Amino acid sequence: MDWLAPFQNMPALLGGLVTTIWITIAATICSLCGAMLIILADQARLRWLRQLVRVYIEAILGIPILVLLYIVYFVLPDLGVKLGEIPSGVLTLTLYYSPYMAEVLRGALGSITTGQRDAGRMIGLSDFDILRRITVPQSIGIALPGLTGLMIGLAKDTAILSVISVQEFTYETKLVVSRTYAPFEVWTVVAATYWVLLTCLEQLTRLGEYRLNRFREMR
Amino acid sequence: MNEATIPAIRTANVTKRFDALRVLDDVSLDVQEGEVVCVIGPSGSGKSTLLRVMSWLSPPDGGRIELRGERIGFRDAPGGDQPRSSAEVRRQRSRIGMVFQSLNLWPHMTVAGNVMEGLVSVRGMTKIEAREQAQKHLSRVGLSDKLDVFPAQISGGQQQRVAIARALAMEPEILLFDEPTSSLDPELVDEVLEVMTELARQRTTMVVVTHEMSFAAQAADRIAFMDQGRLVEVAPPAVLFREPAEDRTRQFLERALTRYRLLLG
Repeated sequence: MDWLAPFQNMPALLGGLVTTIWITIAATICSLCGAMLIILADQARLRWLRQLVRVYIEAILGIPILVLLYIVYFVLPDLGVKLGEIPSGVLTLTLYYSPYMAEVLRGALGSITTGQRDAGRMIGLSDFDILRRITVPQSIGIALPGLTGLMIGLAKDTAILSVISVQEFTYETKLVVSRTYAPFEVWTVVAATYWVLLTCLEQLTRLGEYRLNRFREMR
Repeated sequence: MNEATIPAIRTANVTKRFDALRVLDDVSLDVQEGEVVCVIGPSGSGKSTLLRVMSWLSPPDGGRIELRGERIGFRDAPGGDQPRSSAEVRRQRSRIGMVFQSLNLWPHMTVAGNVMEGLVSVRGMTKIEAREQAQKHLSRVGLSDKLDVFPAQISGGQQQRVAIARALAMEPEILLFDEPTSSLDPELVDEVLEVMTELARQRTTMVVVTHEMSFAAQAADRIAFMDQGRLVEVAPPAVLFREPAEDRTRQFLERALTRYRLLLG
């Protein structure tokens, strides 16, 4: 057993971990934006736009994320869209997770009663003010658990970007393993790291969820 | 037309349909400055829809609403009706206060926050000014000690009083109440009716859709009876309760009052 192996290769592993973290953050932000676009498009008057979005969602639900990644990285260049490894990865994750996040957001927004919106309109609030002051602040607390679950899924799925040579955590781990011949030790430490970080993220949002929803339970 | 005869709110020949259903059928009702009008009638008679139309929450299909002589939603133009911009409609709507059956407080804001929201976001007050105003209006409804609690922490009756303070804070020209006590537990009804009676005594212009006949009898200057989307008759309580002109009014009142007497035993 060589338990020093993973720690002697800290710089490489940490570098990969940092890449994983910021790809996760970037893809989460992009997916949230994508989700909002989907919700907006779904309410648009243009029929073809709504249909287009529906076809896209159906397609995403029926394609493994690995296949989607290959399409983005290997097929899009033939269509004239050439992206680097990391942009391809972020785009894949965004395309894949946007519809799911849209679903969670839609549910949260829908849970705010029309009566609350009517009350806002009677005070003279604009539609934008109603979103900003009434609908969105309440929806965040409702959507947070679902969104966190998706973000954790997204974080784990960054590992597949290693197949197109994005130098993230899993990719760097593979290199370290091939250098040290200590797969058991290195993979164990890496798996534990994923697990600890994602568990922390979950606990952190649970705290935020409690704070955001505090007003509901105070009695 | 001189100033004194312009009603606070005028509803003229208003029609509203939901698909084939005629919910409001040629309804006309003028409410004068300082007047309290209670609207009664069986459920489904269009009472609530009338208030939603008056407040332009659901614009009518025909007819007009005028707020102190100013037409809501449209402008009369030589070429015909000209729709007002949404900002203009918002401004008009903020001159009308509305209290809902389903309370509709914003649960994520404190009591003071609910009352301050319109003052800050619409009237552009600073938070300090708005809080002072909120305090003033909350004490009018007897809740000056509840500024910093959330709606979930107070009773339904208290919540409805906050909703009244929220409407009052905007200093509306007219207050519309849509069955404000119907969703409350029986023991909480009186505290809300007391606040409303006090407002009526201060000559606040009010239109109140209600099933509370004794409140209507005491507080209303006139009572409007609606049935099947039509305004059947409008009369002072003494006249309407004792000698209604229409048979349908009599039938409705007999049923309502019998139920009341049965309750008393």
